[in-house]
Amino acid sequence: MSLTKTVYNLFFRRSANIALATVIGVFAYERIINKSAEYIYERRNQGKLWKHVQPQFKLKTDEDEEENSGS
Amino acid sequence: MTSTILCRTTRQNHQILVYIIRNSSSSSTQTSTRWKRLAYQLGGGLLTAGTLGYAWAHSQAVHASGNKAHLVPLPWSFNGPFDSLDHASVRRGFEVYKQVCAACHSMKFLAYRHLVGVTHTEAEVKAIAAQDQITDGPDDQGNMFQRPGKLTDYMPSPYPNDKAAKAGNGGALPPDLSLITLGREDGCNYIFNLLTGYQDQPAGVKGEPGLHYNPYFSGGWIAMAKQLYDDQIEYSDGTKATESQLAKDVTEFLKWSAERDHDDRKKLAIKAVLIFVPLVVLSYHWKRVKWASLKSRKIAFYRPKPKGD
Repeated sequence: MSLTKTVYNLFFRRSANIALATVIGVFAYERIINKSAEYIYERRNQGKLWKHVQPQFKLKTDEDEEENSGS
Repeated sequence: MTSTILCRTTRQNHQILVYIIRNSSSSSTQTSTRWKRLAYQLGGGLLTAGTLGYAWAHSQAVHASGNKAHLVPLPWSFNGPFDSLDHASVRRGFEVYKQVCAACHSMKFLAYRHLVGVTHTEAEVKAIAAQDQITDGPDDQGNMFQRPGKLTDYMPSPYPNDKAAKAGNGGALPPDLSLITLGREDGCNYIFNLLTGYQDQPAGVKGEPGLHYNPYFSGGWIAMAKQLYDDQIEYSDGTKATESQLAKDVTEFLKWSAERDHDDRKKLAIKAVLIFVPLVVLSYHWKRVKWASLKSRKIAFYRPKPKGD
């Protein structure tokens, strides 16, 4: 009960506090949403996205360079 | 005539509306309006259901008695609402296009730079573009000339114009493939089934000499011959190039070409769900809070005593 009371007094009593809480809240919410969406998307599509596929081609060109320099 | 008595308590607003009944409505008019309402609801419902059913039946008729074989729906890696394209497959599909399809089909809405960061690195795409000759010009003498490709160039067309393409393919125009998965019904399933669907015609079915039988093509007779065979090309990543592998990769490449925003779009779908689900819950709660005073109001009727008793 006292938690809601402190939250109310801190955030919702004055309209200026409401505005500040909204601005910070939106910024934090958007960051959380973006990070979560990226995490969910990349986990669901593991191995399919370009950032997962590209290293296996870089490895090949590195091997070719090593072979060329070796031979 | 009504009078509103607003009764305030410490936390709630209760509205008590008092209706004074002037003319007592007889039961007969009440039941007649009830029947009328019922008639309208039933009639409206039947009309809606009838219209929707008629429209649905019409749409079904096209598929039921169509002139091509029913497609096999395939488990594409991008079938789900949050599933992306397989970029390794798109890369192989580009190789298939370049080595098999580009001889006849143009892709004039795809530029080399579109491949960067999707299927190849920038250096790789520069090298690929430099291998192709792009028509540029006119030069100072007024002639067009050929030069190696750059990132900013669009894929070169095998023929300078449609008439040349038709002349080179027995009167049939090989369609541009940039948007083909969007331009054909059932997109990817259709392309894959078509490419792998070439077979001997059934006994008694006749076609023209220049055409080839493919049951997935409308009418069954397509001008394009079978193009994909096992081990037709060598993939640069070593995957075995079976006919179905070739068809799958090129279809996935064509899907990407038609919908380059596909992956971003599906990531945005996740974001949309994450944003809207909590907001909808909160909005519903807020609506219920605000409507509580209305939903919990009491309405009292009283009939005035008849005068002169």
